[in-house]
Amino acid sequence: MNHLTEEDLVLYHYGETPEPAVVEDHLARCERCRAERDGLAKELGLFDRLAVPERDETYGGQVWRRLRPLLSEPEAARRPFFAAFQPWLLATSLAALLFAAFLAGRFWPRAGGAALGPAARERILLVAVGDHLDRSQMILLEFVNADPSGFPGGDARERQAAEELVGANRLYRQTATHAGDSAMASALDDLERVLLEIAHSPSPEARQALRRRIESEGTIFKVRVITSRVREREKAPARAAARS
Amino acid sequence: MESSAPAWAAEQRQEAFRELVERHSRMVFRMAYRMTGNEQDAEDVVQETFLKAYRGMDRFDSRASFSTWVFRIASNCAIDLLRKRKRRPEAPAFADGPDGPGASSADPSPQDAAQGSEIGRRVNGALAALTPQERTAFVLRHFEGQPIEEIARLLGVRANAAKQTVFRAVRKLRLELAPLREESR
Repeated sequence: MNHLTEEDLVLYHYGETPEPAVVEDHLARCERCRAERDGLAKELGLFDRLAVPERDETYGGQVWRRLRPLLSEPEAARRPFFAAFQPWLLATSLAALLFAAFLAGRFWPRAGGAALGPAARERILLVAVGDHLDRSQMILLEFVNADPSGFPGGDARERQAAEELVGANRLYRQTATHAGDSAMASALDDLERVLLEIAHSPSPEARQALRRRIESEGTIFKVRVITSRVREREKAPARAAARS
Repeated sequence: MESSAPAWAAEQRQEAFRELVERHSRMVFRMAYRMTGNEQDAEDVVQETFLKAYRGMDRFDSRASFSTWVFRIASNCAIDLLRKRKRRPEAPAFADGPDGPGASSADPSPQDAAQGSEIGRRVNGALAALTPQERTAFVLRHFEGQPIEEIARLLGVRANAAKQTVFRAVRKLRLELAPLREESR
């Protein structure tokens, strides 16, 4: 008697057997194959117990709020973001980061306005990233200093503010990664993890633990250091111009 | 019905899209998390998926289901991310383990907890041992109920190759779980 193979049983388990009646007929007569089938089903059933982090019914709205600023921009101006992922553009980190700034909806060039030069574009970019870091720092400070017994609704506002910053941060991080600016990408990656945790830590215990971790890891200090570096780079051209 | 909504008229585009995003985000996140094993990566996939969907709305066949269409985009985004990442995905937490996010509120006995923890460790380790291709095939087949033909299309391989990838994934997973089988005898 030819027994069923593991492949036969996998296909049967997933309902992909071409001739299920043949398999069922064999299973009805063969104890060994029935035991194999049951063992397979039991082991695969263990994977159904793997947890997925909870996203409640407000999640769709949060995703929409992150997406909304990116969708409102003109079609022609949105295309360069994907173009920035082409290899020939990767070297131009400045341009790629600038697209991310534009995508964040903060520095949209006025129609008919004069084209920006490289120095002006760099400055706009640095201002955008600097502002983002300032806002992130503010949220982190508010979060760390929040009174757990404070007025109701404060947590929800912090979570929403963090959620909104995550979207912009993701764009800056992804573009910095693709542009090869690993130091900036790594710093933004760390920041994004913390912002995500603030946005998705509904229980007071989880929030308290996160506060302690932010303090012990010096997260706010790190964000301050990056911000000051960005601000320094922002001022550098003006200083150079003054010297000349 | 989602597919018959006059969603694609330019002036209603965003409003219609908002409804679709709100309706399908959790499904995309769940799938992305199982594929990547990482919360942040899953969030990236969600955002990229809906950006691509919005920009490709003109190519959407309104007779088709939006959920199927967006599922395909999300799968491709997750596959791209796994390929770019070139490291194996992390394993998600185990719901029944004492430390898992889905841990039971009832206090398990120390023996149950130890056993649950061991099973969780094995199951997580088994998933983490798969290659991105194997994990993708397994997640799509096991969790998402996608037929082999569709998995082949998403992976860009022939149906037989997709089938072999699922077999290989299951074989590896069972091998990793073999010690549990021995212990339960």
